[in-house]
Amino acid sequence: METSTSLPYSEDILSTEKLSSGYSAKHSERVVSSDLDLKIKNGELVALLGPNGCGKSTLMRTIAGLQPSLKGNIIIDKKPLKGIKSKDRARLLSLVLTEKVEAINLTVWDIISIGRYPYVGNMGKLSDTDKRIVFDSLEACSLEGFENRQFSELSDGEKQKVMIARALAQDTPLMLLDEPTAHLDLPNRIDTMRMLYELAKKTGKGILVSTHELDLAMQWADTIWLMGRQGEVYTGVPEDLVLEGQLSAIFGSKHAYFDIETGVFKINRKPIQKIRVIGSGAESTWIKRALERKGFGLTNDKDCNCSIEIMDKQFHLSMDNKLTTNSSIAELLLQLQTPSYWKQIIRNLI
Amino acid sequence: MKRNITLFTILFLLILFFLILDISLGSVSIQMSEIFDILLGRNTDPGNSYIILNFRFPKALTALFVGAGISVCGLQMQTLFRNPLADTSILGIGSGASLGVGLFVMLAALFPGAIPASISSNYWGMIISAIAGALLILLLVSTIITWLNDIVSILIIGVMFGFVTSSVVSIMQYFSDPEIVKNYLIWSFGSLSGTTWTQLKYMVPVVSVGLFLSCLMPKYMNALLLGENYAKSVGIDIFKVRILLVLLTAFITGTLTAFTGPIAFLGIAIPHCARMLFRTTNHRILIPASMMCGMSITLLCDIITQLPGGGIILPINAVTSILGAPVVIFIIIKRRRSKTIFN
Repeated sequence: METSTSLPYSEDILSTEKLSSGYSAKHSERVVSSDLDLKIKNGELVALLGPNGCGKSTLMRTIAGLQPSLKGNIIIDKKPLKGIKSKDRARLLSLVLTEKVEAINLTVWDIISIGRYPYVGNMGKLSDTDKRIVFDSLEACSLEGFENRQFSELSDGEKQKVMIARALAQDTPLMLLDEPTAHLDLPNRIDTMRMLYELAKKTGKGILVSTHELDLAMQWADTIWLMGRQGEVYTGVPEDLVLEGQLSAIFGSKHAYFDIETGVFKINRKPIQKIRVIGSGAESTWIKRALERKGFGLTNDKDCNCSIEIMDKQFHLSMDNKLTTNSSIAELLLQLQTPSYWKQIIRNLI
Repeated sequence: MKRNITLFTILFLLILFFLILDISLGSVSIQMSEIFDILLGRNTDPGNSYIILNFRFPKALTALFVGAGISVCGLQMQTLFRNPLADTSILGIGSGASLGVGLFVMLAALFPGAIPASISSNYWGMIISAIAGALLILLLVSTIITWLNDIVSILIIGVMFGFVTSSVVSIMQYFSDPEIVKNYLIWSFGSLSGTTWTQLKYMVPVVSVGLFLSCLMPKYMNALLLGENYAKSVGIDIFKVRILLVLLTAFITGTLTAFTGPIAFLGIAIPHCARMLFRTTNHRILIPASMMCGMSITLLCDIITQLPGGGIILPINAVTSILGAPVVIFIIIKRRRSKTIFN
């Protein structure tokens, strides 16, 4: 694995020309997405986002060459994929898939070595260069000391790192990862995304990640490919996609909408009661979140008959001219959840 | 790495030891020193020399090839179908080969003009019909497995193929000469001792080619371990590898079965022994390891068949089944148990 010599974003790693993906049977064709012109530059980490069933996996599989494209061209590192030998394709793109690998009795080293198979002979014997590359990949994924561990004994996070190291050892300009964070806990998700971001910059690879983790993608991806329900793809810097409204258009639903101000999804419902929160800082933020979670609305209206004032870590609630002092959000919510509140909640549910 | 070298050395010595033990056992007792003299071609008693060179040595040689061949085929099936219970005898491929031989033998008897000569002389005919039979069942099983990837259904289907082939054979028996039927039945019990030098002249080169080609497969088989899509992504032509493995297995199993009859359970048990012993599924180690484990265990089985002494020889399949069946039960239990709810 070489450190890249050229600056990020100076070359095209992947470009698709009028690419259509989908399934074709004998007499019919089901186009999932059509006429896509997409690009990934060197050093770029791209996240492919989209609702379930929009065709993310189909697009990934098509680019990966696991299923034929219906139309159009895929070009990786200036080489068109059409009609390419599978061995040559294996030198252009590597994969990390969602399917669980049940390779019992293979060591971490054995698995990463498989990444070198496009370069070695029938017996799978590694040359010294191959061994160095396997070791470098191991190191890049912070797996030093794991080489002789059994793969089946690793945690899910470690397994995912091994699969990424295997793809890395394949030493390809493009790397495709299908939901690499799906089985991981939060720290491992962040760690994986950080690792991919750094790998892209360090090695100059183009990395395409399909994911459902909007916030992770927003935090780490250089570019987002946002796929709509008709298989159309909007591309751009994460923040642009927010400001231009595509994100809310695609992920918004009857029940939730993407709040441009806070960058989180909020639930669509009629507030049970409007409450004014006076004060600032972390307490104010989390009180507001708790209130919204419980179905209250926020307001800045001074005439509001319900307000919460934050002073010295105490929450002073004035409701219907009654004053209470609460020291935790739990106490505050207990005060607010009156019999009439519950009646309204249940009525709204029915 | 050091551990592997030690294990291979031990296995090699074990094979040598069993080989000599196997040759020294029999109804006529021959001194160890005399055996060495005979094998080295020194002047000895012509009677003993005849027994060693024409009976015991060919049998031991057959055991070596059967052991290596059946084990490698079992390993290839297990990797190809990513299924720890896949094996030529379980999947009914052995029965397919038997069917091929049965058809050949009995059709040759029914239409003497069509296929010249009898069982004993037309070896190529037997080899080819056994390979064809094995290949037929293997292709059927492969097609079915791609539809339903369920370990238990595959086992049941293998057993069903076994029933079908034996039924076809028993129907044919009604229309055949009793002498030929008797010969066929004896063959179908499986035996290592039926092979003479004339037959070894066919079996040894054909199986050697098969074993040699199997040794060239580690890269492809390792890649299959990660699953079809990963294998494709490292540039492996899955279709070609599958066809190659199927052909190799049919080739080796067919040839062996033609001469020794079906030998049960070794093919499934030995790759597992090799995996446990070498603690790896890396085929660079596992292919030679399975072959060597297979050689030593088959020799051991052959030694056990002669233990009763006094000229009584147990059927080889009885011994291999007693050793192999518990392995199958163990694997099923282990797999069932590991399927926990929160996985």
